Amino acid sequence: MLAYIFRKLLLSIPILLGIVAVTFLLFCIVAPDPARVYAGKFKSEAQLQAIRHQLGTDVPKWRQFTNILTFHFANSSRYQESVWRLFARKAPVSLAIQVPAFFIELGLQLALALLVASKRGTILDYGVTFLSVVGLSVPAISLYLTMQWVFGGWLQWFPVAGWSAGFFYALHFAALPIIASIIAGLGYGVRFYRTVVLEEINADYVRTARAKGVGARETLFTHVLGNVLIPVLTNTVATLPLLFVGSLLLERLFQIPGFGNLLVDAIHAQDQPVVMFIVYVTSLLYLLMLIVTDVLYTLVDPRVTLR
Amino acid sequence: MAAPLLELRNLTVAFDTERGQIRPVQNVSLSVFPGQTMALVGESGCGKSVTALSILRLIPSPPGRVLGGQVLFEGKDLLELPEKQMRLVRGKDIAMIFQEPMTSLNPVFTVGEQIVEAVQLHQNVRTKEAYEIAEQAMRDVGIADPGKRLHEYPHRLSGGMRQRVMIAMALSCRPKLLIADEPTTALDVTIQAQILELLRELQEQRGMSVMLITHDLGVVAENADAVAVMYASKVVEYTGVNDLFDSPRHPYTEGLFRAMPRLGRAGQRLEAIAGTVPNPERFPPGCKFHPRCPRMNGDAVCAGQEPALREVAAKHWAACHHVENFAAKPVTPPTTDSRRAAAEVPR
Amino acid sequence: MTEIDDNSRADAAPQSIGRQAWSRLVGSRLSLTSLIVVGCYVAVGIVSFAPFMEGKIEEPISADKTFAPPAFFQTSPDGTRSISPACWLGLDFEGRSVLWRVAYGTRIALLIMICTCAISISIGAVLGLLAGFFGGWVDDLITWLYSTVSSIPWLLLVIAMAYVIQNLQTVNSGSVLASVGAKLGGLPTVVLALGLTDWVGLCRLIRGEVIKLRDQDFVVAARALGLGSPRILFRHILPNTFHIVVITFSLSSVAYVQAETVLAFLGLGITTKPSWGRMIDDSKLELLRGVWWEFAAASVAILIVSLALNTLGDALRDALDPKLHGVK
Repeated sequence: MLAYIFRKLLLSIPILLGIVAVTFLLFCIVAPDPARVYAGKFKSEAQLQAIRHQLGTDVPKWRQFTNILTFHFANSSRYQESVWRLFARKAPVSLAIQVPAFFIELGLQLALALLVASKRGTILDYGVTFLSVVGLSVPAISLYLTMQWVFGGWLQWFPVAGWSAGFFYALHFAALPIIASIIAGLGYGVRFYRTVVLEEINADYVRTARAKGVGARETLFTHVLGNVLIPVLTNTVATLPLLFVGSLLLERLFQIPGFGNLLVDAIHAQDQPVVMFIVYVTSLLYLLMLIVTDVLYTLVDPRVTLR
Repeated sequence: MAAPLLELRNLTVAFDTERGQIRPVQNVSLSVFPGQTMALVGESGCGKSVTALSILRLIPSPPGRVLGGQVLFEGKDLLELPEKQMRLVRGKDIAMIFQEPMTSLNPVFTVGEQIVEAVQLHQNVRTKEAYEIAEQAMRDVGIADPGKRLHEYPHRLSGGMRQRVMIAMALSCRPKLLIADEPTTALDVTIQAQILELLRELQEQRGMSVMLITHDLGVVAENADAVAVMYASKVVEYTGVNDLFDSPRHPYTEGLFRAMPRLGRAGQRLEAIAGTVPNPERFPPGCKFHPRCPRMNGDAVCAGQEPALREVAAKHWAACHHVENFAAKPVTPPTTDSRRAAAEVPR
Repeated sequence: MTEIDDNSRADAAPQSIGRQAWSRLVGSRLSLTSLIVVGCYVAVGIVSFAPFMEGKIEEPISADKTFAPPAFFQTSPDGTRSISPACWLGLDFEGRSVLWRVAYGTRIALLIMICTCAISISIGAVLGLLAGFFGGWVDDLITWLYSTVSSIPWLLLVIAMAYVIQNLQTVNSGSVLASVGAKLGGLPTVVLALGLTDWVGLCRLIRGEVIKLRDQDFVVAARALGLGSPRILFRHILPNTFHIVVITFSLSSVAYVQAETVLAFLGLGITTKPSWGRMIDDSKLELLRGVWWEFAAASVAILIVSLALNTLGDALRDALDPKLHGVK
């Protein structure tokens, strides 16, 4: 198993280099001098040079490339703090919202998909499918704003926005964003998993199980679900890195000081080190998650071997 | 004659498709007796699989449903049973094995787990004992080293092995009737012979009945006691195997026999039945075989009136207007307890 | 021997795939409705190119140049009431007609969809064709390229690109990019950011399809006739991938419109003209004051077109890919 993981890591190196290259290309070559962008038009050359030094752009280009590779990022120009520190501080906040949302959403999606697929063709099926398509057609920002308005402003069940450090207060602030996040993602998942479940429901092995005397509901939850886990895995594990970034919109609108909010800040404040860092690190995490997915496949699907 | 174990009476099944309703099974009647092997023969699409699935009520319920008729198992109509009780019948009294062993087993569970599932559904035993029963079942079907094989996943087994596992699973609870839907079609010829022989042995040992669905007349000749020939949703001939091969009465059956290649018979082309099997969406009026029938000489009755299955000779039913004196023959329920002769079946 | 009655379904003259797909498309009420809806949007968008629109979107309707809820009638200073379409969806914070602005937003959305698709489909299709057809190191290179790009979460990449492109315009204000950008109100930023990043999906699909096609007999036959690679590629293989392109076009357009709202929210989107995303962003704060009509109008506009395009995309997928007729 370790050899397998090691081999997969090795094979990912070209892509890793590719990511470094894209990051480099985008932020060091194509992008205009960040010092100029940050400082505006009316600074002297000396001041610009000082800023460049701070941002790490006064070194030759190849050096900048290796800096990215070795995770040497300049400090955030807005916060004057190490990007890693910022990450350590803000990522947990994003996770606090995204992780519960992720699991609840997944559970709901699967439950609905199983329910609807087993009652295919009924009004329930059409209704849920229709709602799913509507759900994924609604622009996320509209959904969040509407929920803020309805549940925060009008019904006043939850605070409209904000965050708190203490655990129980945080729950209070986290509730609405979590619910909003779940609703935003539900449509896509239900539709996707419904298709997957439908494919499995019509499989021969389900017919065999029924012929043995296994009940309809039980075949769904043991036989079908076992096979559905494979596409579920593909679909979800790769989205895990996004949990760190949180949802930009969500965090901004609900004023949650998470990693996504940091990105928005960085864009407004022309904080290039942070933007670059977020893009780079998220991509790496994604790559890592792909390897994790491969490994998990070997556990979930007995047909996949460690080759 | 004892009572039949399974009796289908005028079974009709319909499917509602976007293009209208089709009826792949219409007024099908036949019987299976204890210890008897009944073969259900016909080409692809004639409705034999649907008939078999309806016995266990496994027709997917939208879009399919049973329109009418009875499925009498030991006297009880299975179609009237509540689902809960039907589940007790499936796997225990009546078991079914299918055509594609590749896909009929769940790929994410071991073979042992799947057999144990069947065992634990119908027998009140602890898991350890269930595994022992499963192991014995695998031994009974001739799988070597069953203890080890129990823990293998289906994709690691060959086609023949998988089919044996299916049989082991089906027989693990000692059913009275085994429905085998083209069990050997997807297998190599040599494996085919082995599987069929295995089924014969097990049947003799356990006094089990077998409903063997096939399109292969050779298989019928070697294994069946009674035969029902289906064409385009109807049973067109039903009798004991010897009778069928000695004197087929229905033109379709005759056509099937003529189409079989034979060793030692000189000839240039295979004799095919002219025309093609009708599309269930557009069955011809009257007798469904009449557009292809060599006996039909422009007779209005063939296109106008669908012939019922009548007892045209002792224990021999056929549905064809052109059988001698057809209209006078009685419409009796097709049941025959016939067994094949111990000697070879003449051709 | 009697006449053989051919019971197979009587076919009219064999139809081309396009014809069959079209008839399947208009056959279903659902897809027909979506098609009509999309058609309406396109019509509104085309009308919005007319010069009179430029004025309509800026002109304040009411005298006091401020909000007004949706109303059927408008009362002019001398007390007469007239039906005023401009007021049907209300007035925004500067007294401008929401109706006209949303209509104008359709034009922007259309431009975004078409231009972005032009870029992303060109890149994706060309790379996919090359990779699938030539295999070898070309395939390896292109696969590496799209694997790399797809490792970066798309929205993140779009934002990063838009950020960089916008900066390019502010810093080099004399450049071509900047002047085009200024003239089109930020459109190049959005179109480039979306188009240069979203080609991966199409590339993969086309590559897969081309790999399947290149081993088929008709390609071998074409080679045997002496046709060279470029001709085979463009005249024989490419047309067989059109269905993928069409489906992608429909489904990706939805993503572009939605991504534009995110860009607008971040200040990276369309600047001078009223795009739907910008309208939603502008109306954020108004919501708390109970002013809902601008937000609702823009959101519903996006919702309906997304719904229609999604449904259309699904219908196209069903109509053009007969293999999928098992599971709905």
